[in-house]
Amino acid sequence: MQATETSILDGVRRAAPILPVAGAVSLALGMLAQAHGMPLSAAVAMSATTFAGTAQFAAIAVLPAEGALAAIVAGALLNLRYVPMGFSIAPALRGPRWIGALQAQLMVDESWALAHGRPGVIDRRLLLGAGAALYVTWNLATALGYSVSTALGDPRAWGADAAVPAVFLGLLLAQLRGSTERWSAAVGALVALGVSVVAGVGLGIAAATLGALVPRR
Amino acid sequence: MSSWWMLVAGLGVLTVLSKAAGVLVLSDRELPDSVADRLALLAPALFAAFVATQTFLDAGAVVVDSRIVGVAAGGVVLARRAPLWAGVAVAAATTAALRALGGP
Repeated sequence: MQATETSILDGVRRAAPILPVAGAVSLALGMLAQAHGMPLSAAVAMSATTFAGTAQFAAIAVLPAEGALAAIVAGALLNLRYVPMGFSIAPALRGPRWIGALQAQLMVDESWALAHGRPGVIDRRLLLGAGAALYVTWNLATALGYSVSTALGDPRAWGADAAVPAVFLGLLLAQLRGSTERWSAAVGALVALGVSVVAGVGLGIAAATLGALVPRR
Repeated sequence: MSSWWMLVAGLGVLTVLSKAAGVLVLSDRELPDSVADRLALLAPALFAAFVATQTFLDAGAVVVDSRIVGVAAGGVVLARRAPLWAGVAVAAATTAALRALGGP
């Protein structure tokens, strides 16, 4: 007798409700890239290789004022959380390392969250299904957003510059499990603001990593 | 190579490595608990940094505009366990409405 096993399609189904939000965010990303003068091919290549919303938004916003290196630093720091998350999914991605390394690329905040099957256990097929669905949506929407950017007019008029932080506010709230996490968030936000006004957003986000040093309560 | 392509290449490599690190490094070893604990706190710290800088800053300076009200409205909705799309819609609609009424 076989217990029912999860399938990749289960992962896709789990991701379905958030695909429209992810698509809208990536649409805004494409528009932002176009507005900042990023070439379409570079914007598409970025979504394909740096599959991570916060990092892409921050980097694209930082580059025109502060250059590529500051943008890379800001984006890379925002993506540092994928290191521990990558360790958490590694046991589920058994097999040849190069395949596991490729499959790990489908990890993003939402697909990682959705990949938790039995409590605390990552399910490989859920990760692959949700991750693939998000990846395809994300890449298509970047290209679409970029292409129709001039036709859609000013994104500020329809509140896009509030929508993007709202998405990540939602993800942030899910992270605030305990008081230590809340202190980390508070320190991170305040340090980022303080340092950014003095030294630019790239360094501001870098400095926010200090929020990870708050003592456990 | 243009700055944009330097960004794509540099951030791309670092992101690929970050996500693959666990698979590539793990074998049967695990991160020491203390290290894993610190790394786990990066998410709330950096998410909060991102939300704060995107809400209150514009090109490195504090700019008080309709975003703040929109994000706050979205935040209230999200804190009440509304789905993500609802919070985003409220944030966007609130900001758009304020701007339609002539706000910043």
